[in-house]
Amino acid sequence: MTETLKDMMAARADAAPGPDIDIAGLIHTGRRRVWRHRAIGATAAGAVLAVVGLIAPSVLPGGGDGDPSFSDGLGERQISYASGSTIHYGDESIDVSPHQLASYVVTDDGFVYAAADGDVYFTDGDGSTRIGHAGGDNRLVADDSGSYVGWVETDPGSGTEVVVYDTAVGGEVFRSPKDDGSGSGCYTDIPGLALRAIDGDTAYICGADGTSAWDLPSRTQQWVTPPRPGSVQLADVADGYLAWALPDWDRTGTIVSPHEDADRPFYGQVTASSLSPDSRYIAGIQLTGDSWRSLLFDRTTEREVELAMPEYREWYVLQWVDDDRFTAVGYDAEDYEGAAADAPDLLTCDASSASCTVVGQASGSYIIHPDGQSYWR
Amino acid sequence: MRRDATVFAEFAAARSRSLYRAAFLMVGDHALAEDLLQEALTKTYVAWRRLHDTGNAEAYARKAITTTAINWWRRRSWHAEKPRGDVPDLTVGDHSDRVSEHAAMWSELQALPPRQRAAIVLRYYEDLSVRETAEAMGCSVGTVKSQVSAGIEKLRARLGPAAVPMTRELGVGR
Repeated sequence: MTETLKDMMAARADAAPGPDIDIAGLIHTGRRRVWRHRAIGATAAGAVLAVVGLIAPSVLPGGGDGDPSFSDGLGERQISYASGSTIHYGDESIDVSPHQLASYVVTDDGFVYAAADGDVYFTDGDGSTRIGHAGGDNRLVADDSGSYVGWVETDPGSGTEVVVYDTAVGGEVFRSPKDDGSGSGCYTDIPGLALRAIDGDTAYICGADGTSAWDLPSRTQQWVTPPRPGSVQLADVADGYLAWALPDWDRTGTIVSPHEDADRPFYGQVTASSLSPDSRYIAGIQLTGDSWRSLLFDRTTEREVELAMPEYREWYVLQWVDDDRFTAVGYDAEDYEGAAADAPDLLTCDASSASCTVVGQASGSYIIHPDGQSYWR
Repeated sequence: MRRDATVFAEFAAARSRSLYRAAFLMVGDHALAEDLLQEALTKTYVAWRRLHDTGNAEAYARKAITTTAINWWRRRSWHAEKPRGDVPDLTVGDHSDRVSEHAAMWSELQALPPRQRAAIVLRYYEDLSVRETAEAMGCSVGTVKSQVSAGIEKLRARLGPAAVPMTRELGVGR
């Protein structure tokens, strides 16, 4: 048999004229999709600061109609926070009742949250699927983008293990060796493992013997040497750069160093809570005596980025949208304490232009950030 | 893998031709195949940071082509089998008119429902396994087998058994 379906398809494909693809154009389109954000670009040129009430409707939480579903993935990151049993994402609200959220993170495929009882669930807006149990502090860890989410599985009888789940695959992809709890803990006297960060394919795990970087696909471990002796704590990792927070609260600061070049660290007067995806910017707090303030530091200029935003007692990065842009929440003193006050402001910011725009207000004063930290009380 | 435009551009330039061929076989039209490729590569760029290496990127792009093609057809209500022009009956085994034979088979392939057509292109042009085809189509292995079998049977019914080998010969179950 000389004529087959395969022959015909090969001949037709060979005879096709071939593509004329505008690669630069599609990259531009792709960037726009990645960066498209509810308020970014919607404000007038030069208006670096909008007042509360000047709200881009598309970014307002809770305004969605129908049941939201993100089964095709989230695409561009939208502003997100949670409260009670509701995850707000862009103009959609996802009800995960009867669960009460303790913590949550956003991945490229949906949302992973820990309920108050420690069970971990994934939802893309179409129901929730239990994917594990965190226990302990209910802390979840995810990268700025990607599909990995990790947590520490705590079994009071046998110890702790770090579990990494891939929401794109829909399954567990990594489980660390078990720590039986007989040694000291990670930075503290509480025994057991801690998952400090996920950066690309690498999970950074801290235990009694120190901090190590686990390559998730190959399951290989590499020990990480802190940039200076003492109990410096790994705060975040981005693009291969490690941010180490100094424990000395009188000398608040962060050391950022590339994994393979710890001899040339950057030291900044900010205790990091979040690195930008390319590690250029450090968001965190600065302690001065008994007071503190939130700030953004530019590692390349070694200067603070003086963002144009209302004067909040403190503000926090919710998520990095790309290397320069992030979403944030701004608190006045009262509402951070949960007292009846104005709801926190939601902002979109651009570090490269030092501009922020208030795009709305969160529903309620006590909200959960998508940073994986446990807010349950 | 960071969303590095340079690396992505190299990937797109290197793999566009190969991806385009599959797109062309799925939609049967040059301009539509270009649009499909452009859209699939844009989706791949958006997902670039989580694809980790170019092997994953190619698989992702292929999946984007397949699912986007199927969705386009569905959205445009073209999911029904396309009407065929008159197709001459083939005298299979007569190799003197290969062009005519290819034309008939091409017409019949394009007349298949999009999911059957996509499954056949992925299996027999891209030479993917059933599992890989299922991943590219975002469906189960069983669905791939049924789509391929149904498509092949339709081609055989129209073109004759000798023109299209049995699915067993084509390795449907691999």
